[in-house]
Amino acid sequence: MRYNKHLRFLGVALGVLVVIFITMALTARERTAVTPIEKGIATLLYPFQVATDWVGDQTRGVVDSIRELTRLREENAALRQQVADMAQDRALIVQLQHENQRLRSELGLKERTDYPMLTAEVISRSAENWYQTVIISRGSRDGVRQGMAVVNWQGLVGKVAYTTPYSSTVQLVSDAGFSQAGFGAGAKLPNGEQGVLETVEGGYLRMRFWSTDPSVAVGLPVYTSGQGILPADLLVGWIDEVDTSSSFTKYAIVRPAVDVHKLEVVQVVLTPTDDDRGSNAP
Amino acid sequence: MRYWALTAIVLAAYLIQSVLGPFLAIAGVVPNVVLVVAISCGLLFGWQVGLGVGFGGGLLIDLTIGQLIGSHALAGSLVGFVAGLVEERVFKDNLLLPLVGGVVGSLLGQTVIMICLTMFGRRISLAEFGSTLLPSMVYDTVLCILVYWRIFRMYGFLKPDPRGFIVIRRR
Repeated sequence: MRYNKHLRFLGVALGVLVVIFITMALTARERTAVTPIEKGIATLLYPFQVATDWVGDQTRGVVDSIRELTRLREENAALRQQVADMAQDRALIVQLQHENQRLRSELGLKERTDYPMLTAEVISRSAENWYQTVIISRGSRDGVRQGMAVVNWQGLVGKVAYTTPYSSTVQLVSDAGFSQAGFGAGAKLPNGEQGVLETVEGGYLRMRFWSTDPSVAVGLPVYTSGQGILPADLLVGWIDEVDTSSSFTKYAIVRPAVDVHKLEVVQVVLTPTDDDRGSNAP
Repeated sequence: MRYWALTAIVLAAYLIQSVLGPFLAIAGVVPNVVLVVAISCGLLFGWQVGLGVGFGGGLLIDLTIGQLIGSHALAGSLVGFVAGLVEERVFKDNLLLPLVGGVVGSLLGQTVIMICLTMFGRRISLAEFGSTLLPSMVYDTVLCILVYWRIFRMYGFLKPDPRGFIVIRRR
């Protein structure tokens, strides 16, 4: 009984196998038409496939959007970095341009001035508010002496207050003590009017004229006259205001030519000081 | 045995493979959900069920593909049958069962399909076979563990114990 059952199963299995192989043989090559069963299955599957395709498209869209967002975020970060680098480069270029322009101006100053000059860099500023001074990178070893005039391409910067072997402190024209301590800088106008400079508040200078009726006008340039410790013909500033209220003495307010807040490189005018003159004297 | 539920499982597996298969593909390898269900049913319910599920599901796949009709039916039924042969000799709650079943079943099924393809004029190199078989085996094995445990948890529902049913009714 059991043998017959196994035999029958084997027969059915073999039969099915034969049918399968025949079907495979028939469908192995290219076919021009499909069977109704296949058509029916394909028709039944169609809505599912469409729905799945739609869901897949939506999902793919969301995933693509997220990927795109991530990519854009990375790209944005890279571009920001690039912009920052370019801004830094641009700042460097502008800085170099300014430096170039300033150095050209300094070179021009050297060419149009008769005095020997020593280029120095401003390495520091006054550490407190009551003194308008800067420290330059040249000292007594370089030949800088107290009282020497310091200029830049704009005009008179100040004078050397004191020196150390490797650096010097420059008292700026805007410092309240600039015209004190024996300074007594003589000044002149292009028309020959002469006087003496004094410091007033706000970083301005006051020119007191020797003449009681000077010919002076706003906007005229003021130069050093060579009387005193400063050499002649250094541009000090421009007449900003004329005070004629006093009948005995005439004054003019002088705006310094130099912007003391933007000093980077200056020239020390290497004129012989009183000490040098004394030491060289026979 | 609740054959309608089993049929629903086979249909669900077929729909997942034929409709969602392309979306579930990993590195170009599509999961053989029908084959995995045949392995699981064979291991849980014996060779008759495994053979039937494999044959039915495989035939549906064949009819969807439309080429070499019968190859998947043959592979599915053979895998379901072989899996069903060990049903009475193993503990069904052993994790190794779907693991080994997935590896052997996938290997056997893919090999049968490759033999059928080769027999009927399709040239497949060993390199091509290997490059498809290995990732497919890994994918099928992982899938087999998940599907087997899912069907295992439905075992009481799919194959209710008649004695248990009678006892419960009497109490």
